[in-house]
Amino acid sequence: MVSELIRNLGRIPRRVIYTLTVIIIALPLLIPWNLPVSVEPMTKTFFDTIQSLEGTGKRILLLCCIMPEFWGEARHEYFAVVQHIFLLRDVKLIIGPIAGPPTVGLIHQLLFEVHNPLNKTYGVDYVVLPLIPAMEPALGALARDFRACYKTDERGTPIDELPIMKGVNTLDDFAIVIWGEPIKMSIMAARILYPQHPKVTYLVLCNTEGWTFVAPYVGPGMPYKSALWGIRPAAEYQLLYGGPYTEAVQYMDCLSGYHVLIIILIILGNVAAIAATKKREGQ
Amino acid sequence: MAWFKEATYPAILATIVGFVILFSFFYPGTFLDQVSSKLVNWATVMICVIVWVGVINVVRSAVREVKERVPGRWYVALIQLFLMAVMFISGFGEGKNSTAPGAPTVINWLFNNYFYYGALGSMALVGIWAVTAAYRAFRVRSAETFLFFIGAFFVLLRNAPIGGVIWTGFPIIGDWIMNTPFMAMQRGLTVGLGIAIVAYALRYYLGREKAAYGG
Repeated sequence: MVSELIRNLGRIPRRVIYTLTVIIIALPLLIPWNLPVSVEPMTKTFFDTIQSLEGTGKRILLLCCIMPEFWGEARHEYFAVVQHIFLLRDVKLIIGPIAGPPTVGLIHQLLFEVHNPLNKTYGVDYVVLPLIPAMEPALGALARDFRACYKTDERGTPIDELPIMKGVNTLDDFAIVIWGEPIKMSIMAARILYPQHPKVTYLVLCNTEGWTFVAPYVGPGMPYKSALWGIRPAAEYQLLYGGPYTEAVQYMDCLSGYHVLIIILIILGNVAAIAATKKREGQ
Repeated sequence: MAWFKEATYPAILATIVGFVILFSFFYPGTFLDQVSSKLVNWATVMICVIVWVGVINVVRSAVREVKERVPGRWYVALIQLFLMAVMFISGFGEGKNSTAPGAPTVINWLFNNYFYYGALGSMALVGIWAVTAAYRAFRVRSAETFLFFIGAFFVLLRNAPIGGVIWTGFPIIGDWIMNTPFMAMQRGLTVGLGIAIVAYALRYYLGREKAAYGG
């Protein structure tokens, strides 16, 4: 009876697993578990790098290629970073969408939803540059001659008329360049931008899937000083700046439940497989 | 233009362009560097044009499927054409600032409520399938798969806050796995990939790789 039950653990219907998954993800949203989230050193480095610019009047360039399918996870990092920059006094943000046309829409969504406590002004404190619908050639062109790539902002205002762009000619005129791409194009940015402008500090935003590709390029002596690589680091970052946007922190309990469910199911599947093998051997 | 159809001439052209860009890195600020900058900018402009080639190809393919009433596909192609037309007309019709943050325009509404959630939903299904895939396929049948399972176990518990709550050692071991064996493997893979790219470039420059030109 018990051995039969154990063997049946290997035959849990797919629908039951789907239902369990939905319940385990939804449950913490209804009844929060409030599990403590510790902050990783890498997230702290990312935070400190941006925080150090407060009151300096320096510029941050956010170059990004975002796809809607990855935005569900990536948005938390972007919201956290842009929110943090908007909370800092006298730090300027220049956003340059690259490659994917949906990037423009997602950037607009981000700027519309993010809280702007200091009422930063478009063209003075932040600006969105037009999309360059190319990846490697675009990065090459930006690295060689940044100014030649942009004649206007995305609204059609000539670059020369924007106060935020005064004195910006090359990538060296930015204190920090943040490269955002969900999967593995971050390698390309490290390969093209860093060798030509090694004095600039580079940070990277990627998804959890992309982290396996990007990880070797991040850390001391590497092109990227630090990285945010998914919803967990985004939650840590949101805890660090303590701003109004804390959605990722709320999702941490869902992540815990989801990971535990995967582990339990793997163990159940293996216990059932071992029981089935033993029964076959016994026969 | 018959000569251009042959793979040899485009290959020679690409090789020359490749060498110009390659050597310009060693001679910054020279004439070679200026030529290289121009070439890179041209490539960016050409990619903008290629986007339109893609649009034309998609429309041609969808129109053909509708005309020929391809079973199971023609109505999907029709919906695709309709949605493309709606996005196109709303985008162009509502002007340059129609996609400004929060602008009450049709294209903004379509993007934020239809396109975005459609794409997001399709990706979210992967999260559901991953659970059943892990349950059905993750069987410990050898020492290697056991090691794989142990690695996955610690890394899963490292990434989720519950790991540190259950036992403070989970994040430490998970970090070690990510920073030591995983990083060593990934760096090895990256170096291998770099060598492969150099080998491919060499084959390309020597005219041995003509697939890109249909050769």
